[in-house]
Amino acid sequence: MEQLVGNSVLHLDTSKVETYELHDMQELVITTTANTANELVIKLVEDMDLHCKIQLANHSQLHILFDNGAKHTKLQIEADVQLAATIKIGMYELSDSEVQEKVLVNLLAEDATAKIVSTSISTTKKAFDIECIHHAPNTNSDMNNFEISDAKANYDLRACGTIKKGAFGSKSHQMSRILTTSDDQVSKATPVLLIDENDVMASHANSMGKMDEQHLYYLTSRGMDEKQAKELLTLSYLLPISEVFDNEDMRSEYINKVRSRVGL
Amino acid sequence: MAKLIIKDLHVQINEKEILKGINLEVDTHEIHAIMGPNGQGKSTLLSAIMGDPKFTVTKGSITFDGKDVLAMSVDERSRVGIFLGMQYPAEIPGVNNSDFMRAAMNARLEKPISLFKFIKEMEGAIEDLGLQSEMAHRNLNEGFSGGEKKRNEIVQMKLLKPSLAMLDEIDSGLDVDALQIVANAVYELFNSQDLSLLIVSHYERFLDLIKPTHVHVLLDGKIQETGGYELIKKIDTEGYDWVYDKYGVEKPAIQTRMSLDACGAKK
Ligand SMILES: Nc1ncnc2c1ncn2[C@@H]1O[C@H](COP(=O)(O)OP(=O)(O)OP(=O)(O)O)[C@@H](O)[C@H]1O
Ligand SMILES: [Mg+2]
Repeated sequence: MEQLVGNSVLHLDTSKVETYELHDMQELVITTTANTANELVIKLVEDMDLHCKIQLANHSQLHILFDNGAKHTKLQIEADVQLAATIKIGMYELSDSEVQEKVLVNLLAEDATAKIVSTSISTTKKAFDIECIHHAPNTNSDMNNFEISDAKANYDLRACGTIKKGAFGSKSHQMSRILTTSDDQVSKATPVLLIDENDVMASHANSMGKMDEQHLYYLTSRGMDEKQAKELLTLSYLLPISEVFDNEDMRSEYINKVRSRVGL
Repeated sequence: MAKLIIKDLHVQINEKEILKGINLEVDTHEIHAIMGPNGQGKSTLLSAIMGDPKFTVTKGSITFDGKDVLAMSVDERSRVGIFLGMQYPAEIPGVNNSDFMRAAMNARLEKPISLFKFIKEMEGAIEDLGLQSEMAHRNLNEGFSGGEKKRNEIVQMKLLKPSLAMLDEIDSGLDVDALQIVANAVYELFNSQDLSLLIVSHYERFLDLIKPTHVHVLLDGKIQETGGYELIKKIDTEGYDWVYDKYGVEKPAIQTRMSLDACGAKK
């Protein structure tokens, strides 16, 4: 793991898998070189108001996970994605921190792809505002947000897919799943699709509510007890974050982190 | 020898009585078929035996192998050997089919099954049922076709090796080949261990393959008629009118288009 102190610029000119811990920072700039593939974990351990600017060169790939363990976090991520480049952004928010995050991805050239996954457990205020703008033809965005709202949660998600005129053949999908485990919480999901082009595909699917009694019945009818069935269903909200990575070690690290977070 | 004994079972859903006094005994090595018109309580009966929380038992008893089933939680019922292949298996997003199956198998073992042995058994069962091996890694029933869901229920039955297997319209949605495959799987289990079967089906075709030893007709919340294989033939050719007449049960009025429209207009 590397420490980054003060405002920093990361030029990714080779392919690597790396974890960075940020200190005393307001601005982080990340740029990739064409034909590289990088997998990064960005660890936030102290309270911060951070602006992260990302630029992806043609045919490059960046999988980046923000792992937040600070108490109060303001995070703004802005990414420009060029020809046939792919960005995956993960937001790992399983601590008690109060967060306000804004993600804006510009898909600027053909075949640019963005995948955004957030997974959160809230016991306080967590607000996410996520937007993918399709400026060019045949661009893809996929926003998947998972939340477990515990007592005192105040979760607010806005996810927006914007397809500009001329961005034909583009696909914008989003899904949010919110599990509420208490009556003493407020959760809100606002999916938005702004489409100014005919030949496109767009969808959103949202679910919010308590653990489904019929799901529990199905699982327990095969012999596992209620506690185990609940754990399995809870994990289904958290494990998707591990899919930000292709790297097996990174994947298992986050699978294990998630499992221990729910006490497995 | 595990015997299922149901006495005077009354079951409600949302305050409405669906089962109005069911008496039934199913012994090991017996195959009981339950037939009957739509909406008469067949699924309700199997669900009540499994313990679906939607239903409330208001009267009567169910014992299995001498144990009080109604006092058990759903998972305990499963672990004493009761299995229900459901008419409408739930789609469970985010839960991986094989993680689920492994947890279900481990729940009944002293010591967890080794990953190697598990993969071998699961892959074997999936292949036996004519499913693609990738089904193991998909989310449980999510986006499965009707027939795939039913086959996946049988995969689970094979792996869990119950002593009472209840199959609720497992044949609906299956193509002709799958029907044969499922019947074979059921038969194989039946011949390899002590098993009793309680099967709900509307079709002679499937029951022909399974060859029930007892056949019951459930109508108006009660088992009105019990017989042998000949009953299936009679129902297949004559329908249920004679059962309604014989037991003095009023046939539900045919809904007219008018009333359906009126119903929709109210919304
Ligand atoms: N959630 C529910 N709320 C109200 N009524 C219900 C509910 N579930 C089932 N019922 C009613 O209970 C009755 C029995 O249903 P059940 O599913 O047991 O019938 P069935 O005999 O299995 O029918 P089919 O052959 O169509 O599967 C039906 O009238 C049905 O409408
Ligand atoms: Mg039914």
